[in-house]
Amino acid sequence: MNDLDRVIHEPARLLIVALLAGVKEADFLWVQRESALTKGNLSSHLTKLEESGYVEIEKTYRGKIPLTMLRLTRDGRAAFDAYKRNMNGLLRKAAAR
Amino acid sequence: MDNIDLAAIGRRPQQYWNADGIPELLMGILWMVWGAAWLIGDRIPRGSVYTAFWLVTPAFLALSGSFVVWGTRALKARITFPRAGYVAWREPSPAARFGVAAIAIVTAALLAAVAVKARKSGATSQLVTPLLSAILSLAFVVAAVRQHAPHYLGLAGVAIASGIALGTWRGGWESVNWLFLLIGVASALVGATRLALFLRTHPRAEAA
Repeated sequence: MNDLDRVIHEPARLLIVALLAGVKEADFLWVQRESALTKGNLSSHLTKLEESGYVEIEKTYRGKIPLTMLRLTRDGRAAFDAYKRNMNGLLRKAAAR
Repeated sequence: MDNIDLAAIGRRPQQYWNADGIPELLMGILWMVWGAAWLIGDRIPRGSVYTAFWLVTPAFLALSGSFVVWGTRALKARITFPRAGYVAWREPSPAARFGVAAIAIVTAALLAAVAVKARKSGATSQLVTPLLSAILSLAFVVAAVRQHAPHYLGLAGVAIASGIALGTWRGGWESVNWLFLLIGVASALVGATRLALFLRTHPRAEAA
């Protein structure tokens, strides 16, 4: 259990990372709709992920409309892959008991 | 939130592309235009109108594919992104690109082999429509599985049923135009229905 990355293990952050793992980049609105998190909740989890170096946040504009682009960093992708490996290992051990 | 299905989450970006019906709608319109252009062209009496039509139409049809790509992006930017957000897919791996190219080459080689064999027996014009419908149907099935879009299976059914019906009719090369027209109508109807549902279920969101 100690091998699990605590930053990613939190369900909301796991959902955000899993969503971003499937794309090159996405905007805040898509992640918010797909995760069904509130704006405030999503923002706070994204800040935590950004501080851990797992997510890159870019504030930009499309025309005059503000746009927040999100992408998983290389470290974020590696951490997510490691998390899945560790979790699968734990589940296999639990099933073998 | 406690039960997170990572595999299902991984499918969401693919499903997102088909959520609004825009690709099916524009693809359907493209096929309708292709089918109708050839059908109309074949019915124009030989003369100046016929010559002008066949001077302009091939160039227009050649550009129509690019127009659909541009139109899909423009409509998605205007309709989909403000409602469902923006997603950029990851680039396919070299292995995936190689796989798609290999499938295209094998399909083209099979098509050429069947065409050559059929020409020897004089049956090319009667075989081309059922064969094309089978290939299009297969492409729809692959799209349905890869993009997790079950409505493409309906279009696969329309393609194969139209191919069989038109093959029985034995209309020769003209039946290819009717095949494009029928699949185009089906695809445009599916796209329009999905777009209407999308607009109803996705109100315009505030910018983030």
